Amino acid sequence: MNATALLFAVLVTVLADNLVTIHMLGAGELANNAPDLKTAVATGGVVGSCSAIAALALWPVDTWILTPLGFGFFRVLLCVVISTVLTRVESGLIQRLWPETSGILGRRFAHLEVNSAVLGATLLAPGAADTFADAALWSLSAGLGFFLVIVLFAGIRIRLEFSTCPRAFQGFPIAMISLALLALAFSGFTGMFFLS
Amino acid sequence: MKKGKSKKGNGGPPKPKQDLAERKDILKEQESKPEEPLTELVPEEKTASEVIASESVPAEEDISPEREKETEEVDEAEPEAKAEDKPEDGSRGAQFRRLWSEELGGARLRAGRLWGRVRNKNYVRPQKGQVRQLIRRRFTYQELVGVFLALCPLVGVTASAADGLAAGLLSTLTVLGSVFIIEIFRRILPEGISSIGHVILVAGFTTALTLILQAFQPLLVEELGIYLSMTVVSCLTLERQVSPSRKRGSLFLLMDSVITGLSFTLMLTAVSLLREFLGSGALFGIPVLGGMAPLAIMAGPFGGFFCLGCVAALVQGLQPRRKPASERRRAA
Repeated sequence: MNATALLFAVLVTVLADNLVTIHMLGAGELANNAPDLKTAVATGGVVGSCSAIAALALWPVDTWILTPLGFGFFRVLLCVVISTVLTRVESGLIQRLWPETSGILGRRFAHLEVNSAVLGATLLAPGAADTFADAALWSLSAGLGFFLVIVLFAGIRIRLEFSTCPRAFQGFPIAMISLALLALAFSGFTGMFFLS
Repeated sequence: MKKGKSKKGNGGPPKPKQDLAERKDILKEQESKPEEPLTELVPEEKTASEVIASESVPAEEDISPEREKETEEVDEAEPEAKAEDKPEDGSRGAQFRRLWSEELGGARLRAGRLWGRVRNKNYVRPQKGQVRQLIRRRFTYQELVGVFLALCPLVGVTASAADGLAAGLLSTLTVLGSVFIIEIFRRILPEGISSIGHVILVAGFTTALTLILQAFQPLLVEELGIYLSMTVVSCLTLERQVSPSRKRGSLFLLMDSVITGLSFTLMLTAVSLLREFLGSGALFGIPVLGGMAPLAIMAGPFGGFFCLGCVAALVQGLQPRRKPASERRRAA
């Protein structure tokens, strides 16, 4: 695989096969997040890295152990265990290494422990890649895709804070409609000739 | 005869003298008869007894010659039955049975102790007024708006109303089941790992539910795909574990879970109905738009988020406006 093919493979996963805008996973974290760039970067970093590592960790287990032995139904249980433990380990590491980031996230670590983006990435990885190298690339790109969307969405939400909208749309509804427009923008990438 | 044989096999206590005397009489009678086909069975019998001897305790060596003779009086059909019975009746089988009964006794004891620890003393019967109040509270606009956040992981299933309804009902079942299980295990779960324990229990319950569904409704499982597993991470499920309703008793908490689950199902079905109507011009699979072309864009991710936002806006818009604090004070 040459450098161009590698770049296109990453771009396909980040833009045309995004976890949030295409698979509709992790929208809760986006809507629940504070409209602040720092928090978005911290949350995106934690969730993105967790989904990448968890998907990478589960791919060999699923492909080489669970599926051949016919234990596919253990996948969800294993995903949940791996993602929860991983987030705990990561939160511990962040508290040691970057206490400031830990302060920004605060109580949100408990919510990040179980979120649909990490679980979705771990469940989607076995179907998305055939070899371990592909799986590694896919999971890293999926994490990167989540990070990109949450940071972009934080920018939109900062704008929304200063705009006036009808009472019925304030808060969650307008956030969802903005996310819908973001998803529409991202769905434009699926038709691009070099990504298809 | 069989009884005697089995006891011999077990190496159990010797028989009372009366029995022996009776058997001696019977033997004498049979010796007087010149029937000889039984001798053909002797080799088989010997092999079987050898097997027993090799496995059994040394106490068996003390068996009297009369007893050995008894073994010869067997019907033609019996040796087969005995050959089958022997591994069960042999000393190993007896040992196994004894061990098993001991284990079972131990397990019963342990289960009793565990039950003592698990036993939930939180069974308070909720009053009638409380339940009605709970239903009213859970179906207020404010609570329904809160449900939308829990609905986010399941946006993917809203393409058809039937799937949305099924996913909502399954989520309700998951919440109810997980709350029930956690209420049982709450006392024996250590505090430090309680949140992980809760998640794993919920995941286990979802896995079991998926397997059951796969047996009866494989098509539904295929349609829901990975979104069926998303009920694990839905905050509807996890929020119940820290719900303040617990203070009012386990039954109240279970009722609360059912009512919240139903409100969740209602909202999910509303979103799916709107999305299906706009995206494919149908309601529960029945086409209603006639010749008009549906909005294909609504069938994609855009439609999912858009319909969720619209329904949330509708609920929020219908919410009665709260009077400003100054006016409330004046009214009071």
